[in-house]
Amino acid sequence: MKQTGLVFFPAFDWAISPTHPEREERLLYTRDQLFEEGIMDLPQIREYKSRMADKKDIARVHFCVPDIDAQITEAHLVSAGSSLVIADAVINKEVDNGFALVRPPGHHAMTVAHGNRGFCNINNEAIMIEYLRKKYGLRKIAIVDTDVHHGDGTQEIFWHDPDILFISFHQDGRTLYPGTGFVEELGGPLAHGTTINVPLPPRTTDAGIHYVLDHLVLPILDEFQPELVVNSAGQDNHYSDPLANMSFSAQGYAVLNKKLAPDIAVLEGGYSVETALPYVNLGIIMAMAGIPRLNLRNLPATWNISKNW
Amino acid sequence: MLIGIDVGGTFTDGVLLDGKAIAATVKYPTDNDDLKTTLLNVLDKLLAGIDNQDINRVVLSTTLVTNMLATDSVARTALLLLPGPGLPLDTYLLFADTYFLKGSIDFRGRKIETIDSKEVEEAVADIHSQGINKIAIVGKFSNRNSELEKVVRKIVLDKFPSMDVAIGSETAGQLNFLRRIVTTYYSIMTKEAWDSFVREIETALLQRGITAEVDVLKADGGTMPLHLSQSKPCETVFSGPAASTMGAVALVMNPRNSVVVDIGGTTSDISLLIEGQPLYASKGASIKGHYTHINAFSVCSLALGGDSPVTINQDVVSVGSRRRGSAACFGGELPTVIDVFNHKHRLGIGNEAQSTAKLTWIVQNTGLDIETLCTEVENIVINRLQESIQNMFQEWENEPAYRVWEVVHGRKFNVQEIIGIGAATGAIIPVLARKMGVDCIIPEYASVANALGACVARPTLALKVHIDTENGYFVLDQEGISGPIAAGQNMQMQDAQNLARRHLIEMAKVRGMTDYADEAEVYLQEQFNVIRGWNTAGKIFDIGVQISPGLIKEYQGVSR
Repeated sequence: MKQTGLVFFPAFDWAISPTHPEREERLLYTRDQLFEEGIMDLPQIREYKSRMADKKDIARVHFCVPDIDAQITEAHLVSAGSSLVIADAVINKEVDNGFALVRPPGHHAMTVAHGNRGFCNINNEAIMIEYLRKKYGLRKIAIVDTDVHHGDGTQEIFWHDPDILFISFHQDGRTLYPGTGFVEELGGPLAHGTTINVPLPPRTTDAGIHYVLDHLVLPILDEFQPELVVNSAGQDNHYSDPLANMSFSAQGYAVLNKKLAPDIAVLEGGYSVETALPYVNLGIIMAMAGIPRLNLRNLPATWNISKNW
Repeated sequence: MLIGIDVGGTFTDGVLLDGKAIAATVKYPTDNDDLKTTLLNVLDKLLAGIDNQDINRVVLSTTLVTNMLATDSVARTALLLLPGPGLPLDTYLLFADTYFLKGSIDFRGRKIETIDSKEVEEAVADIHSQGINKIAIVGKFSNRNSELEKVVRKIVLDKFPSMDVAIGSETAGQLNFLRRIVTTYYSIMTKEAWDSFVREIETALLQRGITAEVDVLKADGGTMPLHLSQSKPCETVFSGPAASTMGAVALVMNPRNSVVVDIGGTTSDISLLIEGQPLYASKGASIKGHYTHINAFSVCSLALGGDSPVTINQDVVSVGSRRRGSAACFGGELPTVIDVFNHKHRLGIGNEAQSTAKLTWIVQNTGLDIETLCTEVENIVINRLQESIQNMFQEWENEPAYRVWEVVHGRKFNVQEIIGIGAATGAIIPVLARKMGVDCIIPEYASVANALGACVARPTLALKVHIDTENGYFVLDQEGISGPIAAGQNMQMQDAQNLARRHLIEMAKVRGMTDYADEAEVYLQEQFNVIRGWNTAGKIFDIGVQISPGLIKEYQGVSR
């Protein structure tokens, strides 16, 4: 049977500040939904325990100012380490694919880390990729950033690297943080075309995102022939997200993950903690584990708390 | 005087404890078709020559429910499920006679979709027409709001007042719909048979003039009063291994990290004590391959025991898993594991010469000599035990954790001693302990540890409260209890804990276990600020309190 590895690390004792979107409550209802569904009891799912990353794993990617300890908390080490747990499990073929459902997120963190950027201090995906290349000798890896915000940190880290294909689709930078990710951002001179950006107008729906996926992302992936596909899995394209303005649905995310079939997904943003996250996370897990999504919730847009996260 | 009786698959053990002395022990073959008679026979043997009025407490550990479920000798039961959105419905299609209904609740206890009464009526009519009279009604998130389950129950009972009905929220209120389905289903399925067993036992005890408190042992190593067990027959499954583990606790009485190895004729059960406290199975007891919400000790069972036969096939030594008779030293036909240890370590069990003779007989015409054979068998046995023990440590250490400090601090099981109990333990455990480099304890009375464990186990009670101050309610995971939280109340962690404790004390009173209520400890405390916009709209608390497994106050150890 196909098995999906899962590290669930909701960091129930960590927040940027008490009322910050990146707070203890963020994955509480996701916990409720996943545990009530009995996800961890399913034969298709193998749950792993999180672990701390080594400082050396961080140093492989980042130049921290003035040093690593100044830039991270223990929560960051566990979040990054959890991605490594999934990476090991997938590469060692203990599971077919895996999802690091972890916080804090990382895709805005750049090579030089000197403070929190867009809720991120260190870049979980980049740390994982350099770990995989060092430990297992992988070469060509693709990252598809499905967060509503441009994955500027990941883009910057791999800007000059022709072996890493980075594709980000996101809400137009003129309307949303971080204000970058335009089509002409294509990578450095030796890696031109291995960075791809697709800014999308606010209120883009399932149809729009899937159009980009079908007609751009998947064909480019086919051509690039990566050894590993990573989904930098933000969930804030959801129509109920309080920080962004897109109109994507939980079903849309599930289908996206089915089509993309990432080897590894790592949670990024997504702050509609009640209306989106429980169902989007469930949808991603179901898609990765090959569970039909017939009964997955798709909230009516009229549901009264949908915009009132 | 106290009595403990543990019904096992092969033998039923009983002890009579008088102060610090074990006044009598009984070992009697189990008649799996008539457990009541087996129990009463053992009881009568224990009671021989004493005044029944002197008995203060009787604790029974029985395999009745386990056997019923294992042999499918149970009543046909229907399931009415309210799955709501989420995983596809076939995930919940665990049993025959399952019906899916409209109506759903979300994680905050909000009603998302109402019941379609007509649909319920049709389903019940269909169930009734098939001659089924037991129904389990279970909804997803019914532990956060039991309204829909209760509406369905009312429709069922209005139409068919004689239906036996159980609802999920009152049976198993922890998160996990799958396990709630299984637990509720098995509970209502076995309830009638268990009730009649309880009545028979009560009558039989009255006839013998025993007016003492009668308790049954649960899978979590605690007891509950027999007369209150009717709604929870399933909690008695796997009480056997719990009895053995509690027996080890009672015989050793020290707060160390220990491995309890119970080696019987055909199986070995391994459990862990962490600072003297038995370790629970993280996913609950598993019945016929389904996880449940029944708290049970983490027990690893191996098909390997003292009577496991030793064979040689083309010079390859193996240890069989099926018992083919007793050990040669007790007159058996084939040499067994016991014979190997008996011969190798000169233990003088039974007729040691017989052990040696049978072992010599099977090495004949093979390329092996008897000493090689013994070494190989010993290695097989010890390695399998040691491997299982290591796996249990690892599983415990790798238990997922959801808080930073838990991951940062990790956990490591440093075993200090092995406690051997059960009939065949004396031969094998010392060798295992030597190999693992830890202390070895084989207590006197190790062979009736299970019955002693039942005898002196104290009652347990655990509950979790979920409090949602924004939505103004709390729910208990026990018996479907819920209530309002007054708006505007500035609830803090201490208030939440007090609420949990208050309910524990109340439930303890009903169960006649007030004596232990002050030993209740908080084992889980989580609080979350519910932030909407930039304001705190409320708090969510999850509090767990429990009276954990332990020994009754009057037990002061067993004197030699």
